[in-house]
Amino acid sequence: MNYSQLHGLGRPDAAALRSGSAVFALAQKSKFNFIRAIVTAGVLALVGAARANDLPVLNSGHTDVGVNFEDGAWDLHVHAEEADLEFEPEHVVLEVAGHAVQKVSSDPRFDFLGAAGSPIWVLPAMEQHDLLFLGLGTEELAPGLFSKDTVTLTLKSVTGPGHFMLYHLDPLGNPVVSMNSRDGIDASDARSLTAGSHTHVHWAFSTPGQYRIGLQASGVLAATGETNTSDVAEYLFEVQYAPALSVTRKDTTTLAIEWLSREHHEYHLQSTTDLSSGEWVAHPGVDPVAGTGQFITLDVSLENRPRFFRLEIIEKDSQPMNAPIP
Amino acid sequence: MNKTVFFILVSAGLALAGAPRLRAQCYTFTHEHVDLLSVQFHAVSNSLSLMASDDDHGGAFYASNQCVVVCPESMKFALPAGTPMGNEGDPLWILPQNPYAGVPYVGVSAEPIAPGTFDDPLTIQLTRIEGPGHFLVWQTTGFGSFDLKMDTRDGIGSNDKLTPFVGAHEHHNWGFTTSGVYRVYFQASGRRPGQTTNIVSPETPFTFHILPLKPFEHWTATNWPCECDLTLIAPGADPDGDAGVNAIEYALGTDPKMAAGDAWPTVSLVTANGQAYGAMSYTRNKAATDCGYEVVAASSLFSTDWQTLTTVHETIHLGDTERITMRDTVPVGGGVQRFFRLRVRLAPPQPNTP
Repeated sequence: MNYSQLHGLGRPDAAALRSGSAVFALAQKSKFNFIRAIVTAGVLALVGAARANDLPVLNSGHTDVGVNFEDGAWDLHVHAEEADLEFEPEHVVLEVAGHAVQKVSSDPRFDFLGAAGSPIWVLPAMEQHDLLFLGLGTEELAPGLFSKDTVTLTLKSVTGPGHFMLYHLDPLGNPVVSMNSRDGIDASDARSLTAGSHTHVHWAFSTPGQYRIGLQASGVLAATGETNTSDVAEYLFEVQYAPALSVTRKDTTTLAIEWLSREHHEYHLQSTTDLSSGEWVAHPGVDPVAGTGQFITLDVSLENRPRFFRLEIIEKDSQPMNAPIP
Repeated sequence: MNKTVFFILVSAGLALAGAPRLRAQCYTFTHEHVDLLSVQFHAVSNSLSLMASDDDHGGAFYASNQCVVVCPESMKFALPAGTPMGNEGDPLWILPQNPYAGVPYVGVSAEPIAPGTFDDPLTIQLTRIEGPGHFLVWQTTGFGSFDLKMDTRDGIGSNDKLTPFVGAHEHHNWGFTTSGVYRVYFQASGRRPGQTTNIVSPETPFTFHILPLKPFEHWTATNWPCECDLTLIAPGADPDGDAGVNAIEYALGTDPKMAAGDAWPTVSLVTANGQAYGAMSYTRNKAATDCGYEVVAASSLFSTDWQTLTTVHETIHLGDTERITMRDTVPVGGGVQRFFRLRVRLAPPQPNTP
């Protein structure tokens, strides 16, 4: 598991790390506008490097959104399994890396994720070493406490630049959607969980940026038959942007160059015939492309080989950034 | 259709004393979250093993011959078109990758192994299967695609494997093409950093009961809930050493773990139409509905022409069993010798769906 740290401004009284040997107070947050630090460190290094105004970031390894009820009170938290660390929901950032982006399938069963071909960032239910493996855990919930040993996790709010969807796939590949903010948020945006267990789900976001996902746990107490509901806990996600640049051979004479564009950016395809000493020039016949937030594909003729390509990305009122094409 | 035929000779009345085997502790997983294939590393002996870890009960460990996983009939699916698990409409019993109420949630775990102890990933190889159908393991991923990890329909090869990360765990769908008892054999292996050879676990069988069980499977599972040793539980095995193999004990309703001869078929003389006939009496287990019974008679023990007796002389109902007497076709007298024997035919498991 790797942590990096996130700097921000916010409540000064919050302790982010609740378990483990280290006792330190950190983790203030800003309402929005997290600023990412460059530091990437292991757990011990994180503890050692902890300082005010840092929020730890989880970006890999098995981690659960944990739901517990003890001594008459709900406890919604984040549990990093491998390091066995627990965090308050608002005091840790759950990272959705840029390479988690995919294109929404044209399979109509996945319409709930958005239009076919549009970008969707997914933390998947199957572990990938380079992505956070985020599950739902109720291991600490004592059996018998709740009727039918079942509690419900309900989506209450999504604050962020896009939509949030929580779903899983059944054994035959059908999506089972538990939460979807695209069609509004109501009581149907809920996932039931069995006490003493855990499960893995897909966490999907439609747009890069920072999100606060408000979740609320509830259950019918077996002893009283009354429904008990937690406060809303806000979980912090940072969905990152990456150009996701790819080159594929479309046919014998055409290359398809594709990337994920951003709004307020302009893209210039450049090429050269000599990588070591050649001069990069605007590729003949290809006009600059305005970013849309969607995937953009340019078909490029393969004449005059060898030829190398790069994409110049111009941000409004900003210096150009060059991303070489592999 | 091939049938396995078991004979019992009426003269084989002498029972060998066989000590009944103690039943090992056996836990039946019916709804729990169980990491069935949990890879264990034993540093002292530098060895790997596979055990079941019951996540619902504090990670209690069970040896593979101490537990059984039950898949209820409610998890029988008809496959839709376009899956790699079979043709549209084919039945498949599935232990799913997501929790379902009342269904075991079966995982694979390398969590007990500390990161850095082994190179990533470990391998859990499918090595063998005993059961009436085929076995498949897959995950549904992405936009409804299928990642097929194990599939016995094309045989078992080195590609029938899982590759869990060290320290991690994962969930899959476990599919069975027909109901019945399956024993699936796995072997874990891994390489320690800097080494050039793998550490390989013993081949370890895990038992699945895919419901409904056929009557003989149910009888076997009742008598040996967790046992995988075919020298004890196969239809032709005789673990109590009383000369009655399991199929015979099943057919006659006797205890396969207790040597006993008093329930074997007997021969007597009966009278019908003023004449005396030889007859064979046997006890039938009424629950053994997948069993065929046939009393045959011949004039020589070495005859190649055993005649099937079809005349039921008497049936006595005895609760779970009944005592049936079959009468010979040849009256006694005239110095004729007659030999009788009982044939028991166990219906084979249903063939796999082609």
